[in-house]
Amino acid sequence: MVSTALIEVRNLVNRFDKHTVHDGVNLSIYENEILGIVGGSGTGKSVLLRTMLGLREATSGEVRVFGEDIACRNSSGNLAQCQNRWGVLFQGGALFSGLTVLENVMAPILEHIDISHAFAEELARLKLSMVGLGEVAYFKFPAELSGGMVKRVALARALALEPRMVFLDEPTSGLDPISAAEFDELILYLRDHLNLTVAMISHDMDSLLTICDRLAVIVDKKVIADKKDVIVAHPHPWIREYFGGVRGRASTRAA
Amino acid sequence: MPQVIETPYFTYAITGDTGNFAMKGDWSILNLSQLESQVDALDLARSGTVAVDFQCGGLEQFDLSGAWLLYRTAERLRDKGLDTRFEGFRAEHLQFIEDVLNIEKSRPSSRPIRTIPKAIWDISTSAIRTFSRETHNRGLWFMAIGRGIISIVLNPRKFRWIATARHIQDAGISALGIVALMAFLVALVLGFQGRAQLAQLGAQIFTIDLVAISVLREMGGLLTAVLVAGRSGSAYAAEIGVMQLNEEVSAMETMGINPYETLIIPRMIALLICLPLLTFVADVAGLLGTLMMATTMLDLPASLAIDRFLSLDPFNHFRAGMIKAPFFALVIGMIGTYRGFFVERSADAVGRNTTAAVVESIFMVIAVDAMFSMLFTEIGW
Repeated sequence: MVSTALIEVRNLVNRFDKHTVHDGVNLSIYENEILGIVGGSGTGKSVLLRTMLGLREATSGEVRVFGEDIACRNSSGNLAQCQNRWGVLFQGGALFSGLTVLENVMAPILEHIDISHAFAEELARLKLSMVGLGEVAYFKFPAELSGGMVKRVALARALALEPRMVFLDEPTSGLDPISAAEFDELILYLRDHLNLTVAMISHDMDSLLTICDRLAVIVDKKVIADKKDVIVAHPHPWIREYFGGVRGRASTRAA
Repeated sequence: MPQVIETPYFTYAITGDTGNFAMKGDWSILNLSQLESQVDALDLARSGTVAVDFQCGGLEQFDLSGAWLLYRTAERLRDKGLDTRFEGFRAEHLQFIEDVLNIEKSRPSSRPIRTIPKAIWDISTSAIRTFSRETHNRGLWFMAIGRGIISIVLNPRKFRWIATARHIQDAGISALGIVALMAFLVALVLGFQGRAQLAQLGAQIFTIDLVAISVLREMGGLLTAVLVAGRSGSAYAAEIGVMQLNEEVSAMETMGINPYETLIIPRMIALLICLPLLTFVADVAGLLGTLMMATTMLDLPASLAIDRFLSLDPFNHFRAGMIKAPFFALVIGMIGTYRGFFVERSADAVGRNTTAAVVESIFMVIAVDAMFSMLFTEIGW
């Protein structure tokens, strides 16, 4: 089966003053896959993510989202349409601190869909149950939640508008290995049940090697993306060191 | 005879005692608004109907939200004793809804129930808790400050000269222009209003008394303190609050650096130095404003206006205004840094505490000013 690309990045260049972060990045994200984005600190993983989301304007190059060029977002309402079709889980959760958990998940629904408050609440509860959160959490404020719960609420909020695709920025960072593994399971379960496409930035070797279908590595200001097995065996020295290091070996052995 | 109801999202036909609900189009979240109202408007359980068949032949898009609406509709029918049948559905959607509902049903509802007595009880206990926490924190704060001062007195090398100098720059030097301009304008405004009233009594010359004494005794010090509370008191609460949230303060403590010595004492010292000096600047600018008011509005020659001013025993008034400045500085510095130090751990707390710092310190400045007024009346200054 030939899958279609939901996101296509072509010859992307990102430059801060004289410092070039990306120099000709090409990357496609295909339907229904889980793509892991890997790179050393400061190689521009978050910059790439922000460019794909349209939060940052690229120095040059093209980002096509669901077949439309994101660069022309100013002239038409393209981006607004996209925003209904993707969800984002920010690294720190980015929950609205003044709203309860339930209100956080209801916020995008009430903003975009003209339905009754009670129905929106039912949908929000559905989403929260889906990520494994019980009633106890619904009326708490973000400041009262543990790190793992914040990530789950943020994921429920990202899924509130039934997106076709979610971006996850370090979904398992700051979680203990057991919670991280549960979160990985959750991502996999949602992908299979909701037909989701997932792009995640991660340093968690376990999630990269267990749930991702493909890996995209940012090295030398470019992206090398391929099937998991191909990337793990890639001859590039940084990639070899990354996956061949002690921690990487422990993970492959476990898998 | 079959009845048929046709909408963009479904066709509902009744044959005998069976309803036939044929879904079509996009049952997705984007259409949920119309879907909800159309489905709710339909009385599926009208008399005589004992079963409803749901068919999804014409269904194009179907997502979790659409599935939830369908499930909810079917659930309501079942509650009324009707039979529901699903035909031709993609199994994963139904399975998924079942999964989620199992999770949902296994949990007891724990929405907090609020009754009026309980609300009153909650509010009063939380007020008592807040009060005792604040008292406790203030106690801690004064003790820590005391320890900080003692340790600096015993070991003056610990005093942070550079930090203090930076705070003098921020709180004092950069406030010079605005303080001088404000005092000058206040003198002009007072003169303008005073002359209008006093002229009715033919006592324009007393406008000089009015303005000069007001500026020296009250306006110079009070308005400078209010301005500094808004500029520096809020900045202290915000700066220290952010450091606290960033765990910078905890980091200092683990390194054996006393945060009170490094963060609070330099700020307090800077304010204690700056506020009297700023008050002095405000006094000078206010007197210049008085002079300008006298020469332009009262048409007095400058020498006559100055003579009049000197006859008022200006040093006495200057002293009464000036002596309050260090107390204002203490109030502003204490409230600003306290509000920064005892910030709760949430994102909007810094903003709330900054506002609280400004409001409290302006209020306390005015309260202190009132106490001094009473004191000065008693001792005849």
